[in-house]
Amino acid sequence: MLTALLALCLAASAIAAEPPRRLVSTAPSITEILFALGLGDRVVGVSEYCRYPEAARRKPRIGSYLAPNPEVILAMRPDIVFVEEVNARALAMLPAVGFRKVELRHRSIEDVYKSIDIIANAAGVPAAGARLRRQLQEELGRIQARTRDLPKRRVLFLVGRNPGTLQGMIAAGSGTYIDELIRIAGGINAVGDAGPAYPNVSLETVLGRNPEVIIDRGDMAQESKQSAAHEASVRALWRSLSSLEAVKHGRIHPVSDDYWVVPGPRMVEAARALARFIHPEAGL
Amino acid sequence: MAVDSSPATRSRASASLATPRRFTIAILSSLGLLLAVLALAPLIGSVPVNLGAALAGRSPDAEILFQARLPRVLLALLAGGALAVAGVLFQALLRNPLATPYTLGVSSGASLGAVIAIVTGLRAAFHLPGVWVCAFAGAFLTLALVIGAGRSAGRISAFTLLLAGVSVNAICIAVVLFLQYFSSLAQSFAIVRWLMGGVEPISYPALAAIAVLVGIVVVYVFSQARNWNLLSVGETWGASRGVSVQRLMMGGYLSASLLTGAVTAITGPIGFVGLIVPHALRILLGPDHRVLLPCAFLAGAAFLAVCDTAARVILSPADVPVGVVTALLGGPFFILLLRRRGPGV
Repeated sequence: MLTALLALCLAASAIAAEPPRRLVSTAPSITEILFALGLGDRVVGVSEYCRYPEAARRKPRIGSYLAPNPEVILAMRPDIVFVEEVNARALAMLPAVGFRKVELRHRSIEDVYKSIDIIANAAGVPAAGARLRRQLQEELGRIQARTRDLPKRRVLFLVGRNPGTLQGMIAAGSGTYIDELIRIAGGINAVGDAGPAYPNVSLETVLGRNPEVIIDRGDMAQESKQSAAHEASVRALWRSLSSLEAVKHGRIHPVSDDYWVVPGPRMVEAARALARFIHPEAGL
Repeated sequence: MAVDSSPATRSRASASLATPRRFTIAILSSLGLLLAVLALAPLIGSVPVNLGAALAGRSPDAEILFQARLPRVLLALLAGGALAVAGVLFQALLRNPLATPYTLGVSSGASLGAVIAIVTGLRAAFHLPGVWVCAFAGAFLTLALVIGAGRSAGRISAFTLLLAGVSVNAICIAVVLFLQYFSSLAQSFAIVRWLMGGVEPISYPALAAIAVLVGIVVVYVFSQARNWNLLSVGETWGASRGVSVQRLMMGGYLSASLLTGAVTAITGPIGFVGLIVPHALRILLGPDHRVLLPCAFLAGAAFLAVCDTAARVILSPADVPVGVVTALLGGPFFILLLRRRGPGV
């Protein structure tokens, strides 16, 4: 009896010492970090919205970002479930039934760095975490250095808009991930003094603030590549406001990539794209 | 207000009818209010405008005043007037003081249409923004559905309309939530903001088209004011005085829905205007529909334009959802009015 118990304890400690093998992610930003850390093979479940990298699309789904399905997650027998603050409440029961839950927050660039450390440590690959973090910091630092002495241009970044019109415009305001990227890329947010994080902005405000660069992620039905015809139609929409500096200088940029709304390792790509939009002359 | 044709009700009904003098005063003061708002609202905004420069056509003052601000004020006026008239009509039609332009599902139908346009990314249909077209189609289908479901033996009644409308409303909201559940985060965001409602500048041809539509419907509604007075005493009373109750109700229902649908398709649902303006006016002016309907149009227009002006400036450069302002500004005002008039209204 005693030996049996002892054997069981030994077995249990042996299991605990092994690095966690079965990882579940409930948010696109977490999935991207896991793959960037080289842990893609260990990922056994991702959310409906996890579409990057390509390999993530072939992973089993655990429900949507806002409503992950606890039963599906339990059936995957995960070693660790990584959750974001938004969906943490839906999965509050995990620890009570013996599953390890690691909660993360992805609102800012600093949050992404912290998450990389937390995820890398939890998964037993701290060296890879430190490497990824340093690499991202260096690349963002390089972009920032290149744009530091260039004129700061006023940037309007739209994250929402009624399809085909300049109505229902929702901009990225202060304190958002996009706002941070704009600063790194050598711009200033044209509506950075607004109260809400994602303010509705009127046509009047846009005309009055007169942005020099407009990045329009406005009426993207799908978060994927858009057609050239669609891009042309978005530019045509803005051309009616001929008094805008952004229109005069042809700095209207329709975008659709999802890295604009997924804070994660692709923030370098986002910052570089933004720097090219804001300072095309810098040759970044 | 139950069906009631006792002598007491009748004498009260005739006593509350407006005299020509009161009629003139009420209309002129509402009109004065509207004109004052029309003159002042375009001068206030999130960015200062040099009026001289704007009139001389200099950029960007001219664009801000004539492309962004004036059309928005005009749309707020039209929408506010239409919603307030629709509110009076629905309250009279359903004999329910809590009825609003949205009670019978027209706005939920419009919302469903708009959500479909947002989710599918429909940019344009018939050379109009996709959201407008789908929202208007949604409102129209809801109307047809409610009439289809609420008619029995070729007649509509307040009771069956209410039940059918509330059911269709619930179904539309359920489908909206279902679609939102499957939409991407960005779409979900756009949907929530649309459902908050808001007045935004639209092109002058579009404004003119809505003005014509609202104008025709509103004039027809005004012409029926006497019949609504008779009906408000009771269905039998109205019928015995020569009112075709069925025709009046159907006409009122179609008019109110058309007003609500056309406005909601463009602005999204804006709460409170259709509830608070009619009741405030009933307290101030009495229940005579010959005064109530035109004053509701004028005062509703002024009220929404004032609220939208506040929405433009209080959190500038951010826009506040106008429905928040209508409730925050109108609610306390209405309570004050109730308190001062005391019981018996």
